[in-house]
Amino acid sequence: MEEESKEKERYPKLLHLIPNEREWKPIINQKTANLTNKLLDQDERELELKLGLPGRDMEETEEKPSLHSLGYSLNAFHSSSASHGAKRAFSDAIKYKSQVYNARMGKELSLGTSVEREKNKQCQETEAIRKPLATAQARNAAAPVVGWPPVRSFRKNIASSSKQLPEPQKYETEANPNTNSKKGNFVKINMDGVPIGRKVDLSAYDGYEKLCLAVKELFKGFYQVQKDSSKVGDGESRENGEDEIFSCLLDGSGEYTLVYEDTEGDRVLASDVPWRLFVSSARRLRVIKSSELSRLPTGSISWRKSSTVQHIIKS
Amino acid sequence: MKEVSNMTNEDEKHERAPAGDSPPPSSDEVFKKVIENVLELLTSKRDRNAASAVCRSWYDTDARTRRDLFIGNCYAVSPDRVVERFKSIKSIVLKGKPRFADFNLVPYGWGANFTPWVKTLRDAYQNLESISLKRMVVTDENLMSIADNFPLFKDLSLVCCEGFSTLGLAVIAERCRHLRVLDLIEDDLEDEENETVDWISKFPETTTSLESLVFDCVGNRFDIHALEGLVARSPSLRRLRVNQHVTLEQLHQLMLLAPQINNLGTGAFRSEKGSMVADPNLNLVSAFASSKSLNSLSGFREIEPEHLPAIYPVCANLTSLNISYANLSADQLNPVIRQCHNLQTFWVLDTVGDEGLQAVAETCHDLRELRVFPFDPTEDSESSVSDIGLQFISEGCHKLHKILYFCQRMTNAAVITMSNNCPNLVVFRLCIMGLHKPDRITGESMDEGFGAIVMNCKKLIRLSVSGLLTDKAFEYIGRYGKLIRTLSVAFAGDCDLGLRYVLEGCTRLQKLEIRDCPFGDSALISGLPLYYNMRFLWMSSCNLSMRGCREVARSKPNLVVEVIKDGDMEDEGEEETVVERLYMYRSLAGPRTDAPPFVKIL
Repeated sequence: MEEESKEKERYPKLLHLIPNEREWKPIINQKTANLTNKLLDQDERELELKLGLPGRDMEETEEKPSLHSLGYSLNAFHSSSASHGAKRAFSDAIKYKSQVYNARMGKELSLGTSVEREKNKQCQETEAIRKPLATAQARNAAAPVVGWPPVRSFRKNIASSSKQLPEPQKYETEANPNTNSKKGNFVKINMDGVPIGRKVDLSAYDGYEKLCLAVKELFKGFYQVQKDSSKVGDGESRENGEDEIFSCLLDGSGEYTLVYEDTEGDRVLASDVPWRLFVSSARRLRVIKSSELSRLPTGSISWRKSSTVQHIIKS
Repeated sequence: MKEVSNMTNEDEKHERAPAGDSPPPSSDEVFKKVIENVLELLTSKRDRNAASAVCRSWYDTDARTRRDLFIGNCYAVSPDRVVERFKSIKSIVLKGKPRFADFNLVPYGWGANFTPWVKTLRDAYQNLESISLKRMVVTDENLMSIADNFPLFKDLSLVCCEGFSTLGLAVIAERCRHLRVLDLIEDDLEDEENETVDWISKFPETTTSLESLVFDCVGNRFDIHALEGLVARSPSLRRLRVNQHVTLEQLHQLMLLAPQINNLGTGAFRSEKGSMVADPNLNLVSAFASSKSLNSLSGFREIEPEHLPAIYPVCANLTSLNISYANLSADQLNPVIRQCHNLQTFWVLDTVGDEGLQAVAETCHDLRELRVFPFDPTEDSESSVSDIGLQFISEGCHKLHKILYFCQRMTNAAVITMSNNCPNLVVFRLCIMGLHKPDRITGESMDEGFGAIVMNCKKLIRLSVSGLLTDKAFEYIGRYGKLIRTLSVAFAGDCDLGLRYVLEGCTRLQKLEIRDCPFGDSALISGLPLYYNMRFLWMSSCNLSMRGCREVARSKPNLVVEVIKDGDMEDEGEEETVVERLYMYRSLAGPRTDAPPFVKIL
């Protein structure tokens, strides 16, 4: 077992390699810059307050904050509100760490210095401490990491559905917004003229604006492909075209409008309902040509991609 | 073998025949016939693949005589190439999306469409009887094609598929006159609420040859009387798994109509609300008591625990019990499980706690497969199972082959104990749900536990790791996990070394799925010699760049290297761009033509 601990030192954990002198800062991707900075500062501040324990911990405070902020921010990233941003920040953080690693590693690292050994000990302690503090942090934050734990989506609803049993009607609207914001709420979204549907996680957004932006991101790739073949213009005009298509998804004045199907199977204009109600009742989304709007709400339009199959069944 | 001896007798007759008659078959032809007869007895795909690689003659014979086709990655080979090689296929298994698609890591619309396959198959294989698809997109038109083009069609199995609706099911029910198996498992149907078709009532009115009907994932309502009628005229029905709309009363009726069933999915397992009928429990008990052949139970989707005692009469016969949708406590589980001495497969929710698992361990000594699912599958949930439960299981269930265990707290000691007590483990999947969680007692990493598993479980072919893990764990895996074919890694490791250990050591590796680990380009490139032997590699949220991925694509022309993004692909050109999702697989078909805009093939 002794051999094992020695080998442990030779293959140190990420935490061990953070040098004393340097403040740990991740490589900041422009998109997540503000988010990252905010979290870091907040964490460091919080940490310094919380870890003011007496005794031997005091002398290690110089090294600890950077270690802790590393461990902390990892967890904080995981539990930050935008899982998208969180994932990217995390991968940035990891990128930085492995750069440090790769820079210092040829083959095996012999980190037999006493400083490093102390760091090992610290790491064990910090890990033991990290857990309760981290979970406190996590509870404050919102959406978790995408696709973790690895259970299929129908298993995610067991907790909510068993609570609903005694009085389904009463609890449904109350329970749903909570579960939808906690766990991923993926609904299908189709756009007129695009053969491939997508899925969008409603719990990842806090309002219609962000959702519309996301919808644009999801489908603009398809329009680029189409336009590549037809348009001769330069990149600028192409982008303007996209903006035109995806602007005003909500008010019906743009080329396309966002509608959704609710729990009762009715088709509803997204802009007609407040965000929360939309999130809790939307089962499926569709971006339709605004010219089709006048045919609502008779429900005469079939959502099905193929009407030929229907004809055959009905005969 | 009988045929062979007949051949040789005839041979002799020919030789004795006077000159002027047809010449005797050459020894080559005789040999060919012998090989054909022998190969026909080979059904395992690995045996067949090995045989076909011996020489041209064996290759041709295999191509002529192979009846069962298995294609583990639908993009590894084109349909045209398949039908060109194999002349008469009776059954086909096709798998599509990578497994991480189950957890929303593969954007919707990625691919794995069955359409190009069905078009080619229908022209080539008139006698096709069986289609099994996993993680593929199957449309209603596809189902129509199946129903209309394969007159002998018998078995349809759709697992984790999507894209079809009750319309397509109706067509299958109506037109597949020889339907024997219709298994719909964990599929995601397309139906809208107001356009559901009652497909159950579309089965022909005559006696059917149905042996298995599984539709617990089809959440639509249907006419229960239609199902009763169907069950009544399906004398061969052995397996029936209904959806959550079926109440206890209705289940009772179905059981009376099909006493020969041995595999029953019980639907909701709750009574009709406000029912005035006499205590359903009493009738149900007798129904179970008369089901002499029942050995497998599942369902319990909305269980009313007070009705659980109804299943007592069959517990002693049960080899498989799936109560993983039922929120039961240890006390509720106890009276049931204590009677299940012959249980081999058990799926349960963690609500039963370590105490419940103790009861399992003390009773089910024949247990081969255990799955413990989380009631609240979030990172920081409270879970009632821990290392203690795992310890109990390892003490009582020495025959364990496969285990899937979700928990929040684990120790190396428990895992090591399991590795010692359950040497027959073939699948070990431990999911410690909190990220980077260490041993809850020692605070150390979980390296030693997983190390012991790969060291002591010599038959291990599938491993999923979790918890706080350093590169040491991967060193163990690479050194001892020589038989491992599937490895799943998440939130683990320290640097490239970890992945290198695996790629250099696990020589039998087929499927490697990694997420959120600090593995980078140099590790990816170190695996180049292995990639043609693997079915696929998935890496997401790691430390890969476009440069590394491009280098792999350059070096290995028969690898399809897909970079998948969820947003725009604008910054794809830069070499240093971090690759969010990498999915690469060997393929004889080259880059696929149906890739959506968010997939870039390098």
